[in-house]
Amino acid sequence: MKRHLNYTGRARITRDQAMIRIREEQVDDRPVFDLRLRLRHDSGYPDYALVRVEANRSNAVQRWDFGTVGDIVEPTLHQRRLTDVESTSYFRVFIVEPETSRLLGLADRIRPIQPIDSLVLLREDDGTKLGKEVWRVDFEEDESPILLINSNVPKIGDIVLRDKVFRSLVMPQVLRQVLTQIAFVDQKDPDDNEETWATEWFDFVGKTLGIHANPDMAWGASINPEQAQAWIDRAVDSFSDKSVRAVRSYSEAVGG
Amino acid sequence: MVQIRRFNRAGIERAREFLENWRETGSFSPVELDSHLRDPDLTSEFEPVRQVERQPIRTKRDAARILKELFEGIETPIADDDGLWSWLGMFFAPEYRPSSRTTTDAYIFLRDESTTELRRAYQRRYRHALRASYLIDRQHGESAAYLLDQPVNSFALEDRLLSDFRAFTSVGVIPLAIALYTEDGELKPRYSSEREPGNIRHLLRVLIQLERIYDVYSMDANALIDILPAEFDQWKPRG
Repeated sequence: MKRHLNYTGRARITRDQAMIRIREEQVDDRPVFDLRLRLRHDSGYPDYALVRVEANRSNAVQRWDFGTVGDIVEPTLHQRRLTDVESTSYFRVFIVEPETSRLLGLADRIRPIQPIDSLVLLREDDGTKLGKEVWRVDFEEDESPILLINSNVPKIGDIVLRDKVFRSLVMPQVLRQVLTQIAFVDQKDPDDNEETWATEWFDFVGKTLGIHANPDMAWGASINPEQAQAWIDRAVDSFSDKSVRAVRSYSEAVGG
Repeated sequence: MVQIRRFNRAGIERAREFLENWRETGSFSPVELDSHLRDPDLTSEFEPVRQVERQPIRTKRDAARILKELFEGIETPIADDDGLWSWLGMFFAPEYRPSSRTTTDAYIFLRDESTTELRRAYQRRYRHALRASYLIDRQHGESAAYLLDQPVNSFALEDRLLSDFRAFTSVGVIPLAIALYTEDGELKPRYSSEREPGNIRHLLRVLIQLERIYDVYSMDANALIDILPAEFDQWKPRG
């Protein structure tokens, strides 16, 4: 007779409570992650319960101990390097009762926030959506844009994050497509009170890249196409210059 | 001593053809093999630079010892480097020779899934003999002594354990499987028979269920034995 274990007794840790971010800067040539853990005060986990993090992908896995619920002990930057897995791995964060090894809480399949430009979500695709394309920006209805990358390309996850040729050629175009979607297709308005996925992109262009649209510019359905295009061009130019140093990186990569 | 290199896609394809021919004819040209291994059109230098020498390889322990020394200090992920493992597989192939009973999986590590045949080979990538030896030793060391002492090319108990990477990378599952399914250095009869309650396939399924309740993959073999259902009682070590 088949045995069914249908009672777990554990709580679900939401993505908001356990966020994983890959740092912009690598350490000893490897990506490093940060965990932001915000357990609810009423979650009921005992202070002595263990906090563990795991990253896994394909045929590899890496694990870290983060101390206990009552005394989070973050591993050092060096220890938080992803040495056995790629930075596009999924993460799990779990709370464990140490005596019995029972799971008290679990957040599964956490997709880390990538440094690129930390806004576009990175997702590997086996060709189902991409076919023979290497990459594409995918816009699902009113959700953050996703940079689909073709997992049939060996090490594509690392290429996107580290390869200077890829980054100098592709990432500015990713930004251009996203801003074009925001301005012309979805006709978002930075002055809307309602927060949407575009809000953080407006912030990124304004605060990180330092590019501001003409204050008199119309947005939304009555957008001024010329001014919007100028805003996009200046943002992409700034991003190419400051973030990926596109001309210099590409020149170096091709031996110029 | 030879500097380690990596095969490119064409190099991997050429190596597969070479091995197929070797399997069929039972012989190979050492000169041709060395030429493939050094061909700049088929290979590139592996970084950091490492030198390797052919040595006799009989058991997984032999292979692990050589590879551990070779990769010492390397911190980039190499476990899924198809070009590297395929090159090493070919370099050491004269030490654990292919035959009509072996497949190219033991030598060539594929990540290409563009055809049905290649996808099947990719699914069997855990059967690369050198890589398997290296990973068993790195992950489990002497707690997997039984596996390390098996011939480099044998895949019995290993076949199930290596194909399930979560089980493989856990602290206690491999020692648990060795405790349950071996006795006096030999595999117990019917350990993988689906007709036998508590067989190894059953074990891996149960562990997936238990993972919803326990931190299975940090538990040692003794702790895991205690939470196994009764179907496994007949396999538990006596005394």
